[in-house]
Amino acid sequence: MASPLWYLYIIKEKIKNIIDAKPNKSSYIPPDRYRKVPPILKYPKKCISCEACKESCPAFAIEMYYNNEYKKNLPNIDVDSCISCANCVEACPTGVLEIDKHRLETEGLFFYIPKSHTLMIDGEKCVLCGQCKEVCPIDIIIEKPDTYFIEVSKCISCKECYKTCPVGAIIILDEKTHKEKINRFFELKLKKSFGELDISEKINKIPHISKYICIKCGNCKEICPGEIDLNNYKVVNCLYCGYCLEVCPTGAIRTEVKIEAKNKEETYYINEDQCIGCRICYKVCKVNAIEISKEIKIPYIIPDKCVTCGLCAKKCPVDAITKVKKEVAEKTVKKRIIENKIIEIIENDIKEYTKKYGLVKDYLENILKNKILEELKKYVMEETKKIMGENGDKRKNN
Amino acid sequence: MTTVPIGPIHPIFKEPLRIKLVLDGERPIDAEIEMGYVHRGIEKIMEGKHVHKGLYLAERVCGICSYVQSFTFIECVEKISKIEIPEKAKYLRILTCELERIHSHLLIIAMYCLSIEHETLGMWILNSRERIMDLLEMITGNRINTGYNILGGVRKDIDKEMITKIYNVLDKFEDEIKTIREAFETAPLVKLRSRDIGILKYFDIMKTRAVGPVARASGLENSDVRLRYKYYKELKTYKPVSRKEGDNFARNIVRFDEIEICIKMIREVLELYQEVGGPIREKCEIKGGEGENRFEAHRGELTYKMELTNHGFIKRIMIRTPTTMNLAAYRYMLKTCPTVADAVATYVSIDPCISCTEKTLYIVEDGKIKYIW
Amino acid sequence: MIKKFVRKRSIHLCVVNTGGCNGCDVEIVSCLAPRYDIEQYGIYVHNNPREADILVISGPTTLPWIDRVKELYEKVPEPKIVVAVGACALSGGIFKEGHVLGGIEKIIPVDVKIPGCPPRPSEIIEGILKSVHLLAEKEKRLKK
Repeated sequence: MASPLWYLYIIKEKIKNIIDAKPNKSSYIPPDRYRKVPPILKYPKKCISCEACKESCPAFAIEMYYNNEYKKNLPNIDVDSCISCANCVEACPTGVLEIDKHRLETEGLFFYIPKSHTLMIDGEKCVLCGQCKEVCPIDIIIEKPDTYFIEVSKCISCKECYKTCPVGAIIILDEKTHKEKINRFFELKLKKSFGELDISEKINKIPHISKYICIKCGNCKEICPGEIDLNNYKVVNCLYCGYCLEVCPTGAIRTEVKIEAKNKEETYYINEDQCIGCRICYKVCKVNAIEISKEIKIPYIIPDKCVTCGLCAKKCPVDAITKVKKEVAEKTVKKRIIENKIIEIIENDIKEYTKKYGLVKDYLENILKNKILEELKKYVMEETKKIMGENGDKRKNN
Repeated sequence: MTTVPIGPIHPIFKEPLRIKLVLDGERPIDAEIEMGYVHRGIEKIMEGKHVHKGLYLAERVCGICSYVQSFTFIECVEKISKIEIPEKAKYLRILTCELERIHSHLLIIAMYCLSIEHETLGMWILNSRERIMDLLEMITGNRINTGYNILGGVRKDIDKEMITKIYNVLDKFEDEIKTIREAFETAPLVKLRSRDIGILKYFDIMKTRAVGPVARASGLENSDVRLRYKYYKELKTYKPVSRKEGDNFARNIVRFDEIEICIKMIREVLELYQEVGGPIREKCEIKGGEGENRFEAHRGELTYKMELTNHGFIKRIMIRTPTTMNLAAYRYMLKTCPTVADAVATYVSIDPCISCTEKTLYIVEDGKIKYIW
Repeated sequence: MIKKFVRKRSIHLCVVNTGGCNGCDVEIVSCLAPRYDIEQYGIYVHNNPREADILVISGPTTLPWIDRVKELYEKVPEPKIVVAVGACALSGGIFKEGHVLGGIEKIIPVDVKIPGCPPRPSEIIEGILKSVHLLAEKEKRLKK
């Protein structure tokens, strides 16, 4: 490199530096720990698109975009909004992001992960199916005797459990709705302090408080014109005004609990040929969707009540329970339901009839039952043959 | 009688604020302070947010004393939910807090020197301040808005190299601060412009509830909240300072005195830190409740009062910052200011921080809203 | 050409805090300190918009500032350059939900953006020096 051209080039560069009044390199090298914005995506292959970084960002700087190269959603950090707090780096469960050695130095240390959507499991709705536990990518859902429980401090709010839960027992506490509820609470409290609160009956039932999702914010307690004991989760004195329902951020205070299935097209069905009658499914079901046929002593699932949690199918020792479409199941189970109802009515009638005969009650009951059942069988057989034609249940003939 | 408006943009103001000085000839008689330029509604944004997100907002209440804000905030949360932080984290918190106190005091002394046109001294102070900023950056990872505190401890540990470096820098810094202090005490310009100017009497403190160095310069030694704070009780080197003159000069000398005590405290804390072991963070759960925490910020007493829910959501929060009270004391100081230029220098000497002060605050007089802060 | 050379070495800054947390302003003050010394590049920091070349804006622009920033921008003589310092001035940063405009770009054109919360003094100086070239270009355009 001794050619004169090279020297000319160097001289030109130096003159340019002087004229521009700008150093090419910054003279001061920042120390190792300086968190220069933005955090970098160091290992994009490891990313599981859980949105933990997006949830933990206090400045709303991160958004997820689909990446064609890696074929998944990757976080995109907005340089303009980043405040270099390094929350995203510590919240990431797989260690994708990095901001100047921060992840290396703090690996394995406890970090209370903040999030804008907090997930909680409503124990009154939970059917104990355990699907959330299977789905959770970081294994923080714990099984308890009456419900499942999310460890809030470690949860990254990926919402996988929320998507899979068959009954909607997992509730989301959103930052925005929380803020709205607090605003509404302050409005009502101002009215209450001026004595302008309209206390007229708006609800017809005394609400109760679910201890599983109550966050003890005390909104209901402060607004209530009656009395609420938050330590024991009890409504002591109710005036039926319904304001507590309006201000509760999680919906923990409520009048009734409805367990409704999310998936309304499918249901589980017990194959009667394979069933061995062990009744494990009957004991396991939390929504009482399984009843035992009084005719053949084999359990069947009521499609309207089934929430497709799949717990019975999991526990069945002979794999007799399968998922089918609701219409298919309804056709076959309808008969069992009608049968059971009729038998129930008859039994009740017999009981009332035999009340008068105290001593021979058991004896009479048995005789009557058997006779009526025989008669009924004949009747039902004829009827079903008429309705269903040749497709009628063959077992009936035996 | 004329009124002279100063601000909202003015060479010595770091922050937008308008002071309307009422003049009689050249003597300022009264001042009206007009605010509202920095009102961002921080307390309202925090409502319904998670504690760990509110922490960063609390840090940005004020950029100069950002660490103390986050320190008081997180200690308040830990007080409510009864979390005990590990020993190591405790000493690291004190260390960073005192380092920031030095930087804040130096900055305001430099600004005071610039406002009385003693630029050389101002530049000296700004230069030696950079040493402290380096230490802060080395420990926390950022010069300002450090983001060092988290729930149950601190972000990062320091190693032996850093400790030796802190000792070395402190030794150098101590020499520098001695010469600077000597220059400040003996300089004739400083003496002319700051002695017997802007006097706040002891009885006026009671009227205005002035806090921090402003109150301590007028003889109220007990106004230091650190006297009653749990961490500082075990430190031997800590003792509050006070002076009795109450003028601009005394306020700055109190700050110099505090810097010297801070250096001693940092050395003691580092020794204590080396004796203890263990983790820097501990696992914790947030429980709901209501509570408050007071701490001595660089400008005076800082209070956080908040109500939390389970899982750590902020239901409501109230921040009481020191400048609110110190600005009220400014009116009384004006009585001993001969010129407008002195009024401005006095304003700087109380170490005002407007972005701290601008919470929504209504002052009602005679049934009318007079100030909205 | 001489004018171009000189122009690059005599620049007046007008620093405006539109309601930020002081972090960026403190860093601009430390630019003045002998460590970084912004004046060695011929940049003079003061707060007079009428003789400024570059408007340095920090803070998330609170509501009372909206009209004033427009006024300030008109007061600065042509050619002028706007430098936005810090996350707040660029997008509102952490105060997006508060009583702020969020991003100075919505009301006046921004030439140079310096991200960070707050950026280091060396980053601020680098950003300002990069904008100096734009100043000469703008002057050329004005002449045409």
